[in-house]
Amino acid sequence: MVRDASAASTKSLDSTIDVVTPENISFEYELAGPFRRIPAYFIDLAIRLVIWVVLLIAVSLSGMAVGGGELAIAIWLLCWFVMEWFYGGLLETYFNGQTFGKRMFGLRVLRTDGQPINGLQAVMRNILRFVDMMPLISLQEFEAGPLALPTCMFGLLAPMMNRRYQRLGDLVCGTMVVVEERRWAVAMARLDDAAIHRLAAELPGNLTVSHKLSRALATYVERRRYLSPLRRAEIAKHLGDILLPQLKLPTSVDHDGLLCALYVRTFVAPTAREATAHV
Amino acid sequence: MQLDRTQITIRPRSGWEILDLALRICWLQHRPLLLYTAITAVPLYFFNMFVLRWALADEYSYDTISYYLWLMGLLVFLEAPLVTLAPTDMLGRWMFSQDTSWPAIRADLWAVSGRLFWCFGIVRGGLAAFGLALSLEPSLDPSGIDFLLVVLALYSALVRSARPFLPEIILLERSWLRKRTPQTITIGRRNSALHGPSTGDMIGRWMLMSGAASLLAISLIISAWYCVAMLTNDWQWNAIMVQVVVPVSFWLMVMYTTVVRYLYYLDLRIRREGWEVELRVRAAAQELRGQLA
Repeated sequence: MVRDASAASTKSLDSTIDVVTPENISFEYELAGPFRRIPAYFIDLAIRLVIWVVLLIAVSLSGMAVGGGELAIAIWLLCWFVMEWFYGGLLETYFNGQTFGKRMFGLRVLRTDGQPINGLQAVMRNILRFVDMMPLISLQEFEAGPLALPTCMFGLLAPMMNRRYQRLGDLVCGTMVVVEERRWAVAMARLDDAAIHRLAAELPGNLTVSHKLSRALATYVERRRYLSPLRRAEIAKHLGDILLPQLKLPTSVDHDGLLCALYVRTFVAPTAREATAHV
Repeated sequence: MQLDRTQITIRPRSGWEILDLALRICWLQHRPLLLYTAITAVPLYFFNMFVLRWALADEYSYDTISYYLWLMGLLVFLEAPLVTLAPTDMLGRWMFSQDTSWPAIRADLWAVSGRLFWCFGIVRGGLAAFGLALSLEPSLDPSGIDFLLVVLALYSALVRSARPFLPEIILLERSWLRKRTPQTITIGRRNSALHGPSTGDMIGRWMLMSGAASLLAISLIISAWYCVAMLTNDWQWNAIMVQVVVPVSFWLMVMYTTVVRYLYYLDLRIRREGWEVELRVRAAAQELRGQLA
């Protein structure tokens, strides 16, 4: 089961997707759009170019050695065909949705339900890249040989128009590209300042906080160590000005310390939960 | 205004992710974005055609076309900040589900028009760009005015890459030019506080944005060229390509970069100032105030 982060009207726009496994475990993946995929594509292109050149040299040398120049060209063209059409498909099949470029940039192709892709999907989405590169401008008009200049317009327009940034190949195969980002799960924030714990103990025993306030406190305490003292004071003032009189605390109490103390009481030592008062 | 209910999820993002998200926003909000870009881009499009009318008067040769497009590109680059003002204000309002109608945007722009004139017209060389454009000599040989335009574009590029968020500071934060009270945060002070510690990062992201916009512009121009050539069976660049397709592609890229810059601005505020924390805290304070009332 998949829930798009941007699907529900109440949810805000984001480039993430929630995937819920049959075991009812939810994963949030960050989706990779066209720009995010470009560096990986160029790495794969560079690898293909290097392989072509190496093959060309090897086939030319062996052709010269056995005197079969035409056979050597045929072998090289065959290799070129396989590389051009099946490089991505084969790698994504055997490396679980990754090419070398994708692995380097932490990208992976998955089915839209979050499951690994199969061989047919891997090959098909790579073959259909040709369509995503259209319209192609033939350079024969400009006497530049049998080359074509890809504009990639389809490959840019299609991801703009759908929530999962799927290009045409992905839409046909039911796949999407996600970013495998290793994020540290934020545990309970540690507040070692004794003054905070003293203030937490002084707070009224009958204290409970609303869901919105508890979320605000958690976000504030998680991020406060990255903020300057001036900025902390500026943010904490919004709540501090209201909470100090309500909790009957002296106006000299530091707003930042008050929010930390509330956090301690709410998440670390909620000993007085039987209380009745509500903030 | 519900401070914790924003149209875009407030969280830190990478430069690449912002480029992709900007594409998506351009698609979802294409109507207001196109409208508010066109409000200033259309008059400037005709202004540029007027000041460069002599360049293509005689023939559409490689030399005349390349010179015309070079000057057109320079003018679009110099005029771009002016075109980004209305879409920036629209994005700021859309973010918090506020009214994005033209009267509301016009009122916002009018309220800060003096500051915009001073910062963009005088300090960032907007008026100088118009003056130079009007004094361009009708000659295909590069002149002193061309040189001055290039110098102005380099100055503009430097200032815009190191201090990119001036439109957001004026339009969305409503900072003042001069101190009105001791607590007033002036534009200069806000500019330094926001950009100062992240100048290197800003320049890097500006280059990334410019690269992406250039790629998009090239893709758009070549695709349009393909369509025109298919329809007319003529692969030579003609008046449609030079006077319509290329300038329109340039202005569309200005629209795209406006969205990217706005997202970079949000990201910088989240990373440096804990903006998402402030929004949550203010929303909780709003709720508490409501309960007390």
